[in-house]
Formats: sequence, structure tokens, C-alpha cells
Amino acid sequence: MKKTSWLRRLWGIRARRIVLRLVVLLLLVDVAFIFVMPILRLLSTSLMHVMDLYDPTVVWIPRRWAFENYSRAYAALEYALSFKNTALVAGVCAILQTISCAIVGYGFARFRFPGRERLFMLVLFAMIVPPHAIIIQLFILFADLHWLESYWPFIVPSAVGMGLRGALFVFIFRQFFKGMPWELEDAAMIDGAGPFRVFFNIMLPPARPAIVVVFLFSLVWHWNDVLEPSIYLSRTEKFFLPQRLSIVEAALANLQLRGMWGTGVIMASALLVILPLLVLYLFTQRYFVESIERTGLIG
Amino acid sequence: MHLSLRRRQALTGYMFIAFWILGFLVFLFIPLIRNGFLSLTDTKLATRQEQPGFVGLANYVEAFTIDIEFVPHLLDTLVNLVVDVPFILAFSLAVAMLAMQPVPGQTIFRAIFFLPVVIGSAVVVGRMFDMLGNQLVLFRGEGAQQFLYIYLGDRMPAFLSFLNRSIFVLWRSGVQILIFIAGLKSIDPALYEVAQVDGASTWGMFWKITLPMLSPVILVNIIYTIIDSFTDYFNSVLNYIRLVTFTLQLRLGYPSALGNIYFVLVFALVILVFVIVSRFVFYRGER
Repeated sequence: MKKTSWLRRLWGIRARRIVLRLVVLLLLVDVAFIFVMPILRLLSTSLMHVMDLYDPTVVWIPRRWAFENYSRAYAALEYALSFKNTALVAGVCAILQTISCAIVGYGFARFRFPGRERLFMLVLFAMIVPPHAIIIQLFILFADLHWLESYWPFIVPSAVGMGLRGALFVFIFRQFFKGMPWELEDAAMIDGAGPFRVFFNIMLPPARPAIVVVFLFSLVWHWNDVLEPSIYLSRTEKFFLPQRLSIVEAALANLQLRGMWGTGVIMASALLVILPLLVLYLFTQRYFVESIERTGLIG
Repeated sequence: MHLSLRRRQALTGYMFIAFWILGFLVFLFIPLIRNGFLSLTDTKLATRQEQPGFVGLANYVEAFTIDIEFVPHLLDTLVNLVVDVPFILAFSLAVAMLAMQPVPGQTIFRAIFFLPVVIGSAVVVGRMFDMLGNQLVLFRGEGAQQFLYIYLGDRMPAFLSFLNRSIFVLWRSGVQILIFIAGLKSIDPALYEVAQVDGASTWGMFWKITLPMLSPVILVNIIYTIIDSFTDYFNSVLNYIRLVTFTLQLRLGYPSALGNIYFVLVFALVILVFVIVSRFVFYRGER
């Protein structure tokens, strides 16, 4: 108590508040630095010539700009093809997962039926099961269905609300729909709309924040997934971007090639892999941040 | 056909969730059960169509007695978990509270804090951290390293790898920050006003208001972090199982047993943490 009064007398409340703001700002810049620095490093290294990499006087800004790193990375990734694969599958899976998980979440949130709580426990259960325990069986299942080397192992589970973290998305939608007022639905029901029409026309439009969050999460996670593709796909023309990146890296583990091309190519490839996501985030960022806060993720 | 309102409601409800239940059975539950059976056999990748040879619990015994790699991988995962979870939680809570402060450029900071969620690519992030190695840490310059070496001696590589790892861990806290921000937003500002009128200090308000009101969110975050790090791509158990199945031994029965052990462990741990932490969770609505 004594200490605060002393401080107050010295600075006055106002000055203290300004200092506090500055400290907060400084800390924020600090933390932001932790998140931005690796990306800047990635960018700077990706533009470095081999010579620069071994030159201790070159830290951030390359002395010999190596833009050819990008053309090499583009070629090594077979970018056009792998981008098309990744965007197609991640996009389709994200759309399907968003729709299916919204439907299931709505079902759990708004209808009363026997065994609902117990069935919802299954959703929680599905969140906990690690891929370790089922990945072999899924491999066998898809092999028996002759779905290996195709994209069905990604699309079909997404369509039924499973797939990558599907249970989590069901959970998010359920929490969101639980928090919505009943009046609109009741009014529409009384006017004679069926449950599916009520869902698509009345409940879905205001659920936009939840939809944005789930869609972006789903897209990002599918985009970056490496475990499942590495097990279901073995032909390179079917590969997604992160898998290609692993191939480029494996190729550059060959010392001779690395001496010639340098680490810069790997960094350029890595940046090319996440570039579409970064661009997407740049445009949706404001909407995304806002949405998160309105989802009522925890209700 | 005329159904009562309640029956009709229940039926529609089942219609909404039916396909998910189907998906759950086909893509999760049945594989899990079959995995249990498979783990009791000596099936190999090449002979999986044939009648499996029943070996009882031999695979499980092998995992703990013969296999010299599995148990270290398992311990590795557990130790990382114990170290990482408190670290990630404390960091993400601190960042979330910082992001709540009204400062110029708040939206920009928030946008940056969510970057790890968007990039979140295990491969790319891994590349950033593996390849750049020690350069990444703040002590990049030669002088700084020599200076450190005087103090740390032989422990310096360990120290540097610890620093790298901590940045790496911070990079995995994107979703947690996000959940904490949502949680902080949902705390009734009136509580703080009342406390302020009563002369509470900022520190006191953090312990007496923020933490208790946030405790359900903390529980969610703990569970999420545990699951996330257990199912991580860098998880060494997962990689080991993949290796045993598809590269080294081409067996199916044995890795199934490994997966099962892992699953039981995760499940027990999550339940345990849930039960323990739940006792400290405070729900405002409850009486």
C-alpha cells in the first residue's frame, strides 16, 4: 500500500498509466516478434545465394540476391500441379466438413431425443482417439475399397463430419447453435417451414462467424496435413504441397546438390507452400479475428 | 401417419445426426475394435488377407520387453507433454491478456498472434526450426555464443536447443490464445468494476476474478493442448508406428498393439487430468 502511494506521488496517475501502456505495447511487440521473425528469416534465407549462407557477415539482407531459388523451388515442387491438387482437395474437404458438421452440431444443439447426451459423448470420445490407434485399420479399409491413390479417403470422411478433427467442428457448431435464441425458429415452424428449411434458411445465415472459423480451420488443417496423405498416396502426381516439400528436402539432403543450390531453395519451397494460406489470411484476417470472438467457442 | 410433436422432434433430431453416427462407426469405432483384434495376431502387411495367427498378448509383451525403442519414444512424448502443457498455457494466457489491452494497433497484433494457426504446417514450421537451427535464437552472433559458452560450457548446446524448443512451443499456442481471448471477452466487466470500487488491486483481480471465471476455458485448453501434442506430426510414437508398419518390419499386428497401448494411455491421461482439473473449475451459473 505504501509503495503505490509513493509511486503515485512521484508520477501521478496519468503518467503511470502512460508508462503502463508503453510496457504493454513493448511486450506486444516482443511477442509479435516471436511469431513474425521465423517468417522473415524464412523469407530472407530463401533469397540468399549459397555464398551468402556461408558468409557470417550476411545476416538478414542477402548480398547476392538469388531469385532463381524461387524458380527452382517452383519447378521442384511442380507447383502448378501440386497446388491444384492441394487446393482442390483441401477446398472440397473444408466445404463438405463445414456443411456436415454444421448439420450435426445443429442436431445435437436443438432437438431433444432419447440418448442425446450419450451420443454426444461419442463426439467427445472421437476427439480423444489418437490417429495411432486407427491409422492401420483405415489403411486396410481404404485398401480394401481400392481407394488408395485416390482422394476419396479425404473426401468421404469429411462429407460425413468425421475426417480431420471433424468432432471438434461438431462441438464448435453445437456450442454456437446452443447459444442462439429460439424465437426465430419457433416463428418459422409456426409458419409451416420444415426442419431442414428452418436450418438452411433461418439458422445458417446468422451462423456465419462459426462457419468462417470452421471453414478456415478445416482448410488450413487439410492443407497442412502430412500424415494421412503420406499413407494413402504414393504416386507423386497425386501429392500435396507439404509432401512435395519433403521430397525437395530429401533431394537436397544430397550434399552435392545442396552445395550447388543451397538451403535457400528449401526455404523458398517452404514459403511457396504456405503462401496461398498467407494470402488468404491477409484478406480474411479481420473477419476471422472478429468471428472467433463471436462464436462463443466456450459457452 | 400421425406422430406426436415429441416423437417427430426426436425423429428429426436423429435424421440430423444419423450420417455422423454412421461415419463415426465406419471411420473410427469399427477400426478401433478391429485394431484391438489385430493387435492379438501376428499379421503382416503382405499376409493380411489370410487367416491371422492368434498370438495372445505376445505383441504387448514384446512392446515392453523386447522392443528397445518403443518405451523411450513413449517416455519422450510424456516428458515433452509434462513440460510443454504448463508452458503453452501460461504463455497463451499472458498473450491473450496482452491482446485484450487497449493499445494502438490492437487488431494488427491479434492478426499476428493468430498467424501460427494459419501457417500451422508441421512440415513448414519444422523446416523453419530444423534448418535455421541455432540461428533462430536471439544469440545468433558469434560473440554472444562465445560469451554464453564461458558461462554454460558443455551445457551450451542443450541450452540452445532448449531455447529453440521454447520458441517452437510458443508457435504451437495459436489456438489456445484464441480460446483464451474468447474466454476473456465473456467475463462480465461489471465484476471488475465492482472490485475496483471496493479497492481491489489489479493483481488481486487477476487471482480472484480472471482466473476463477476463466477456469472452464483453462480446462478446455488443457485438454486441447494434451490432445494436440499427442496427435502431433512430430510425435515420435506415431512416426515409430509408421516406420514399423510401412518401412522396417512390414508388420500389422505389432504396430496395432503399439497404437492400442498409446490410445489407452492417452485416454487414461485425459480422463485423469479432466477429473483432477474439474475439481478446481468454477461455473458461475451453478448454485
